[in-house]
Amino acid sequence: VLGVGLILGRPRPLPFGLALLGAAYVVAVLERPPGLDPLAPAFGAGLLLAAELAYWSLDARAPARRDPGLRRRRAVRVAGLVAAAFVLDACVAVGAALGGLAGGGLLLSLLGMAAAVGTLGVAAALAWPRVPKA
Amino acid sequence: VRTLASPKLAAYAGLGAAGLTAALLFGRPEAAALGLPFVLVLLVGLATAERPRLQLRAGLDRDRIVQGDHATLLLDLEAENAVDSARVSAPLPAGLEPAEGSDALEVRLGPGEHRPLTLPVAARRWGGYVIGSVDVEARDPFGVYRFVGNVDAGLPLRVFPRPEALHRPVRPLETQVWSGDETSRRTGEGIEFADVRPFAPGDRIRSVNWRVSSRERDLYVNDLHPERNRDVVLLLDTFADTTLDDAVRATWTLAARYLRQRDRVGLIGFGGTMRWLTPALGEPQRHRVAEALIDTEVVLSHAWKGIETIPPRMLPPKALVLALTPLLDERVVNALFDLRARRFDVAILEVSPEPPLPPAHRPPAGLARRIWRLERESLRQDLRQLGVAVAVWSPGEPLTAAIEEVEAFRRFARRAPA
Repeated sequence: VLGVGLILGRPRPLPFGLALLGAAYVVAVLERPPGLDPLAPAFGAGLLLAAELAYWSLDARAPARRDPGLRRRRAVRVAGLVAAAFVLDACVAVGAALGGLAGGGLLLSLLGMAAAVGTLGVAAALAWPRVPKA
Repeated sequence: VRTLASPKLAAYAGLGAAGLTAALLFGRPEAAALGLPFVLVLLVGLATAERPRLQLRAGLDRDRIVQGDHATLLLDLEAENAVDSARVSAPLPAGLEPAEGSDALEVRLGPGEHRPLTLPVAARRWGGYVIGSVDVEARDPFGVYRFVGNVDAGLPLRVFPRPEALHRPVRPLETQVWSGDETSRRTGEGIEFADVRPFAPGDRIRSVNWRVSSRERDLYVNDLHPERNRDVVLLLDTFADTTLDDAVRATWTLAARYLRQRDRVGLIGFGGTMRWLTPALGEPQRHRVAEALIDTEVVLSHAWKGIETIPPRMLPPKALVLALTPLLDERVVNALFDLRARRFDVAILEVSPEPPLPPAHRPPAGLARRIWRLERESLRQDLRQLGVAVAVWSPGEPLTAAIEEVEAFRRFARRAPA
């Protein structure tokens, strides 16, 4: 699906392709015996990297004469985001491992609440996108 | 500037929410590790997004160019706050194209930065154009929002047809009474020697040919050909779509050449809508012809058109009517026969409609093509029998060759009575 989106140059199929990638990983994790996967932060950061590169690829298709420094700045920004995502995921994984919460508990409940709140927040931002900041 | 959510915003929100929800449902923190990076990008992006405050001014370095030349779109972009990426594009009307591959520029602006930008525009076809709007699309550093705006530039650009190389234009049979570059057939005051004749009262002393007078023992004077101008009416067939571009280029070439020779030139656009330009001479007429030509377009009409619709002052006596036509529309052909019947000096430069046609080799299409060609040749013969020179000009070939063919016919053919 990701490939189709990239070939067609359309952004709509991209999230579905990324979601399928993530779902495949989650299914693989569920089939394993209980225990935290140490590669989870790398998968999380890798999925973000794939998403960023996919959207960059679509942006780069629009023909334009670009400032020479634009690509380098974006590459640095993507690298920074991926690194930050890896650190964040690593913190979550370490926290889960230390707290012995891999099988459920307070941390996951908090994460679930964060998901709900975050989803609501983003939905609100999407519904009111015209004035993000004066 | 309008603020829009980028496709990335919705996608990342969905992916983040899905990851965190899956973590909650399945009780696995690995799923949260997939969703959290997207939530992180969203939070950072939303927190840092700032609406860009941009000012854009647009102009053209010139408003008149010749077909094939370049004009430069001058853009002046100014940002009050930092803009990570601003894409400026100018959608060009058909006939104009970006000279350097793209009609867009993408730049980064610092706070208070003022950036002059240039976008070369090439004119592929003659005509009158308006570069309507210049669009700007800015993005925040993390690409969660798009800020779009446009400036209604309304920049007019007139593109004149590129003239063909031309050695000399078709010479009218008759000259007019005003002075010009063409040697008249009549005798009078001029430079070109015409004849010697006996002196008559009223002749100037300086006209006396003393050598002949002394030999003949009587006074003889030189007769001279005066230099006069000519009237030329260019009849442009605007019924035909496929040959219009080339016909306009040839018309412009001939008009410019005649006007340079101080001839009077008129223009008739004979098509769905009839347009005309009364014969006149000089630089103002050159501009009028150019403006009339670049506004020429094909207008579909099935209305009957005859030369009665042309005002009499458009067709001065003794004017050469030079038609540029593919001889496809019956209304134009009838008008040409009609003009010849009214004893106008008519010549036809037939802009060949054949090059755009696909090749036809197989029996039905090939036979039809041959019959069509025979009919066209028959039409040419009918016109030639009336003393109308017809030369076929295929675009891509030198215009001079077709003009010489017309000249050769007019030099040797006897004019048939109309």
